[in-house]
Amino acid sequence: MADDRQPVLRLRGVGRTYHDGNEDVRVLDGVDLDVHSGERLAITGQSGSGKSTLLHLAAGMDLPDSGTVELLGRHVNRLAEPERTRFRARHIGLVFQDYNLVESLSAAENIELVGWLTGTPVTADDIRQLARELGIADLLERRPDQLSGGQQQRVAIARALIHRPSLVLADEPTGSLDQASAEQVMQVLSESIRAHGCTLVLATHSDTAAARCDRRVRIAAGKLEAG
Amino acid sequence: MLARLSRAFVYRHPLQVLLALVGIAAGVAVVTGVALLRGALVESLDAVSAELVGARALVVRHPSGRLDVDEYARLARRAGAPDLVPVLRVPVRVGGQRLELVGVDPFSGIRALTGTDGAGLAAALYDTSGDAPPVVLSRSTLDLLDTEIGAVIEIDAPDTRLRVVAAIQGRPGLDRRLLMDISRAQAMLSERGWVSELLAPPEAEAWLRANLDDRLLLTTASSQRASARQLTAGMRANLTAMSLLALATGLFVVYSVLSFLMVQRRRTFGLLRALGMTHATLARMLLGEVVLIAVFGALAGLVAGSLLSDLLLRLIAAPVAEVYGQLPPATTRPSLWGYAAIWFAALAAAIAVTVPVLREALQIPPGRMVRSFVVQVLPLRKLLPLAAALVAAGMLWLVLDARLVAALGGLFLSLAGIMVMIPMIGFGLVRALAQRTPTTLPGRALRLLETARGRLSPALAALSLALALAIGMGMMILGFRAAVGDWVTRLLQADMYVSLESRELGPAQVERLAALDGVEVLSSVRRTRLADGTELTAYDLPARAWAGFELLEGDSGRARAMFDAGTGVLVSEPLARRRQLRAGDTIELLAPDGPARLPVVAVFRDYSSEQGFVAVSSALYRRWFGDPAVDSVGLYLAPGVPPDQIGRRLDGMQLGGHAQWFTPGGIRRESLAVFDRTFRISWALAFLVGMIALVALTSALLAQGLERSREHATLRALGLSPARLFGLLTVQAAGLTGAALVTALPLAVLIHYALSFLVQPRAFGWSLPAGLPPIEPVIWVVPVALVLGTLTGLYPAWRIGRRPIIEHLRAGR
Repeated sequence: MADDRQPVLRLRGVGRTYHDGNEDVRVLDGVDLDVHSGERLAITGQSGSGKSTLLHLAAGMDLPDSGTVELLGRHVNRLAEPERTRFRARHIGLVFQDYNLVESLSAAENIELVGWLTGTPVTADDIRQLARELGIADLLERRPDQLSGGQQQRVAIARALIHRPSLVLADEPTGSLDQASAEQVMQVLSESIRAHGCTLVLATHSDTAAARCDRRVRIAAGKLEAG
Repeated sequence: MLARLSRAFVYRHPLQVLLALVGIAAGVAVVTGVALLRGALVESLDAVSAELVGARALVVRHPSGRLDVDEYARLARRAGAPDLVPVLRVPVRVGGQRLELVGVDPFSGIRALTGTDGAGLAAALYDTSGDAPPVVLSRSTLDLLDTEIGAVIEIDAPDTRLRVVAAIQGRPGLDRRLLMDISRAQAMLSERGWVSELLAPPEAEAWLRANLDDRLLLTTASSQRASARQLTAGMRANLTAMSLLALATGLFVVYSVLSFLMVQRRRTFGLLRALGMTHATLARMLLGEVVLIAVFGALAGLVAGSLLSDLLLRLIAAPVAEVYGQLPPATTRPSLWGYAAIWFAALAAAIAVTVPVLREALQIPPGRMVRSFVVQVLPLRKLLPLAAALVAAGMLWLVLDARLVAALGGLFLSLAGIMVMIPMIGFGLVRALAQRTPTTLPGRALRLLETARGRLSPALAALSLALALAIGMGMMILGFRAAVGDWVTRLLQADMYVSLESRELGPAQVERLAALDGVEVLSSVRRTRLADGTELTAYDLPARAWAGFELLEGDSGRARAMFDAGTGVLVSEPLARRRQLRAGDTIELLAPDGPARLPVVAVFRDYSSEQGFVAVSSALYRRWFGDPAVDSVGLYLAPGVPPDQIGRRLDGMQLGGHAQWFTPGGIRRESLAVFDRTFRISWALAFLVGMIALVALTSALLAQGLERSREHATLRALGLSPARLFGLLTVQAAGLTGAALVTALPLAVLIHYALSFLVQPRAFGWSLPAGLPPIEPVIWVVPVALVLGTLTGLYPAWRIGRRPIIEHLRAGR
């Protein structure tokens, strides 16, 4: 049954081709996708299938060759770069496979950084509260190189959620973790998303991770198909 | 396989490799340039006599520098007289260049000199094919004057055109000299009846000692050259110090660039170690790369240095002539050994600065695919003792050893000690500033900058040192300039000064000047050199002239009374320092009638010569030498009489030569112009050091930018716009430059005082009056450094900003 609600994220006819030497590689080809508020969507597919590309396009970090990307009703790919950056900062939270924490800053400073970038007031209490939810309250003063992979990813999740974005895009968030850590991280991510009322788009090749989501789609040969 | 790994990396990062090459080449270029210049100032000064007759040739001179031809004739006619070679040497100018016209008799006992065309000197000098008198030049002088054989050149004397008939290859001692027949030279320059010196073979020494008049000085060509070398010792030491600082700054660049190259391959190193590469193999690979870069960089530096040396020689030629009365060669002459020594030293230095980078590489655990890690900074408890030890060692050396080398070495050690602390202080300031505005873009930028202090510390230290050096040296030069200006103003008490061009003034001429209407009183000066080389200046001073002496030691009233009575002498500060004389000591002077021991009644400030001189009264001088002539007179005019009016009358007087007159203002201006020309080379070297430091800064910022490219991409992904990222990186570059400037300022003041009160007195023998340092260098350097320093951050910012975010995010995987 079709959902009449306005989706948080809407992709229509999105195509993206990369040039690899003399060869053009069509990574996405006419992709249509709607993601609704509060939904947790898993995008699965083989390595190189275009999962990360789809997330980059959704975040406005990359632009499609064709089609449109609509976020909260705005055409992201029609925005100028500075506006697109501001829009992304305000409405999207990002979680990367390799955590991408700023190595020289403490965990607390990494989380607080987003408040500065988005212009959202972030207090020390906000950080402590979120850190407690994610089980990293005792680790806030540590630098990334003093944290395990799982702990770093929790800090990254806190950073993605601290400014209460509408949409969290997580690109293989458990890809660099052992199974036990991966399960813990997925549980934390999934519960936090629900608790904060966010929408999640998760790119993963892990069935376990995908199983924690409400819906699942698969990318193959540049097209989306039901998971 | 190791070579292939290195080659692949070099091909992928040509710009970084080029930067490393530039760093090494720049440091080596300055060292090479200065080394060649030093060689030129050591090997070829005052070598005319040696070139004409031989290094052991004997030289006979009159203290006045002019020897009567009759004297020569009397000597030559005596029984057993050796083959004496009369030489006339007159300074001339050709096309703005200071040269010396050397008149020789090609048929006397001079060495056979052959032109590049194979013809002998005699044939060339008696060439009668043209109107203008023939002249022979060295090949380098021909190039210097940009002229050729067959061309006619003009010298600054009236109607004196000379035809270049031949060039001599080699013979650097004849550079900047115009060789011509002595009798033609005497006629052309109105020097008939005079020669400058007589040269004789070494075996004639006993005969000359037995037959020479007491008033004539006998020396050797080699001791003449040794004296000339001694003259420029202070200048050479200062140049060496500057070149070593340039090399040190260049090595900072090498360190920055090498760590930059390291950063890019951490993951590769981790992988190679995981695949089984041993520490030794990894070290060999990295060392091989460093040696390769250093080999080519140093080679490029040697070539650039050779070119630079001729530029530096051009800068220094005029002051060497003006200040020391010496003509350096027209071009520097590289030696294979010198090149080899610099090349090997550069290799060793490059390998030495690689050690910390190598250690960092070897610490990467196998298989740990770290993208970056925080470079550890030594804690204060380790830094402070190191810094204190270096400063203490430097101070101790300074105090215990009175030589110039101790002043420079002690200063270097102390600076090294302070440099150790500079990064801690500089980044402490950055942190404090960041904490004041933690939520603004500058605050964030500085916070992130401060967290990268491990990587940026060497660049901050290099920049701070270079800026401190530029500002400190500027302060010393300007302080010294002001001191010289004040000294000249004070010294010149007369209303105008009169002399004859290339002539002395006899008693009759002095009397005519004294009798001029409007002249109240005269002062006079006569300079000579005693048999042991001591410079002696005889003064006839009216009461007003005494105010010109700034006495550093001694009681003015008593000193004047004893000076006027001929029972005491004054000693200039440089001579007092060289001979460790104080007021109240006794000095022995080799007067013509035998040694005379006189008390030193005062020591006075003097910047006119590094060797210094003894001042005696004219009466005492005349009693000793029986010489009534003077070199110049000072005219003290009646109130309201303008110097121009007297000058016009002088132009109409027949004084037996071209009368020159100068006002104190004119002499002051000319003195300061000479001063400015003397210090041009210091400014040039300071500029070069500054440029090398900016390369260090650029490479350090690039290294930091590269190391953090993924971090910057993350910030971009999280919402930092390109403009704000650009702003962030620019603030960081400005912040780093600002920190370097703030730490450089106190260091600059320290360098200023060290140069003014420790190095200058030991190098040149003179001290500077105490006072606050001039502020101008700060006003000049601070804005320029801030702008240039900030600009160096623009390239890394542009480089990072132009790549799409996702490429950076992928790059680290």
